[in-house]
Amino acid sequence: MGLKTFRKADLILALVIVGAAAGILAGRTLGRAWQGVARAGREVVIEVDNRHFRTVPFSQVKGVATVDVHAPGGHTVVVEIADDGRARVRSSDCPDKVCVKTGWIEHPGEIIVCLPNRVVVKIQGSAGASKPALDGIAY
Amino acid sequence: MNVKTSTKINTRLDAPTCADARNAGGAARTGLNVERRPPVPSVARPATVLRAVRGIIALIVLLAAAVAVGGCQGFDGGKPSASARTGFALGTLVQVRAYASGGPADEAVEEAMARIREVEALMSVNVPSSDVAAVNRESGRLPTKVAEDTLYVVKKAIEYGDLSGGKFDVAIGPLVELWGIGTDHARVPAPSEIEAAKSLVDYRSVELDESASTVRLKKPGMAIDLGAIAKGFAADEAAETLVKRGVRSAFIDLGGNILVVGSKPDGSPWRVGIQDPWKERGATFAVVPVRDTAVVSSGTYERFFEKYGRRYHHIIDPDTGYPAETGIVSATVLARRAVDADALSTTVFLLGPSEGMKLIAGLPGLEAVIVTEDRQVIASPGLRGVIEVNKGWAVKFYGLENVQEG
Repeated sequence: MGLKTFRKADLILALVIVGAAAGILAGRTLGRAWQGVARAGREVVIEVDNRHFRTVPFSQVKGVATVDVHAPGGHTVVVEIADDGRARVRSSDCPDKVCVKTGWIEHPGEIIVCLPNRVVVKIQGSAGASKPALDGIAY
Repeated sequence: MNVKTSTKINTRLDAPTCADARNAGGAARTGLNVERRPPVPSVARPATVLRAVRGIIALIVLLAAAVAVGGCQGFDGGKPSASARTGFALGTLVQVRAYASGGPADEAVEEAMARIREVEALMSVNVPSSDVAAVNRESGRLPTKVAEDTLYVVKKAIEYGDLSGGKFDVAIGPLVELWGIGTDHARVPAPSEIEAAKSLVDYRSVELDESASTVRLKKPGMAIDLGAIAKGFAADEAAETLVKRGVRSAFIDLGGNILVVGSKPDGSPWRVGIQDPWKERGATFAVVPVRDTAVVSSGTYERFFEKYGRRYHHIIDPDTGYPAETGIVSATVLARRAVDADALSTTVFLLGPSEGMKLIAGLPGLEAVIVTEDRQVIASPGLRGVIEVNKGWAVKFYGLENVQEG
């Protein structure tokens, strides 16, 4: 035992560990920086009856912006977009209000739906380094 | 006859990829591609130098593997580009998300959406020009010529009728129309109305002529409804469209009927949540990590109305004519194909916990998760070590003693 046990293999192991640690650290730092950049590039997309209605980049919002969405049959869905990267349906003249009850969305891929008024509100943009816990929900 | 068997959703390429290398160890026992967690290795206690050296070598190998996997992710032929589309079809929100390594999959996704709309145009009761509407208009009269797709789905539905002892009844139309659940004319019908509608509900009076590609309903007033199966079929067809266009990884969501193609672009399984029946839409009680699998739930919370302090949900029992009361609040079925998962989630719901689980156990390649009124979760044994339940929930596995807590 003693010094004899410190062999080439141990040196390699040490190097590998140090290298891996450095790699992970660099990756995380880059990832965090990238997340900030990604959020800046995100936008809210509103669709009505399978057609694009409006795209609002968060970078263009100061405070909270309100968008009146004109749905088929003279219905109106009011969407709020906040400059901190969130959006919600504030009100809708649909019967069940599932869209309003959905509350705020903030992650890319998240979506609010008003089925009766055929309105979709979603957040688009790079997901950055944060990984969503779920890809979708069976209901 | 021409039974469709081409709806394969296997997206594996012939050449081994990084993802394949990582998946190799996780072969599932069941026919389904569910992600099984590897057993936790016991901590070794090296008593000798030899063991220590072995440990070090193992560590190096592990680290090297980790680095290789990391490298794989970073340089897997460039970052696959995502293409996503949302739209309304089949009375619900459709979302298709696809990843192709060669470039954007926009066209493939567009085609998949178009395919779903085709299915809607053929099979929606609410589209007057659909095959289903035409068949129903001709009830008690002549056979109606239908598209090959429609014939296939009606045939499938009849098979599930036989399989469920008549609980899954494709001719449920008169009862669905009578209750009107999910529409603005939902109401509790009078018992006499229910009796009258019930007498028209019998899938055995649906006549198929496969060579002529026709469907005929024997009694006047009969009506078929593909609402419990068409979304699944549409998802399968969308997946096939994507795969044909070179998509290896996709997430298809037809109003909560989920079908995943392959793995996620990074090679890990898709994580599909299951709706908590007592919470708002989007809140889940469990997650199943899956590849190439459909996950479809049927529940009382999906569509219902309340009257006289009671909740009337949309899954009607053809034997009683009333919303089914089997003790189940939600039934989720995992299958290779969405058409099966869709039909079976309704079937299991209608059969109840015990009969439902028995049916699933007797068919190959299927898994199921049932939530009962008293908050019990029963899962098929193949989901042991796969399903992840939230804190406060416990799962019993059908036929096993084990209970897994969240």
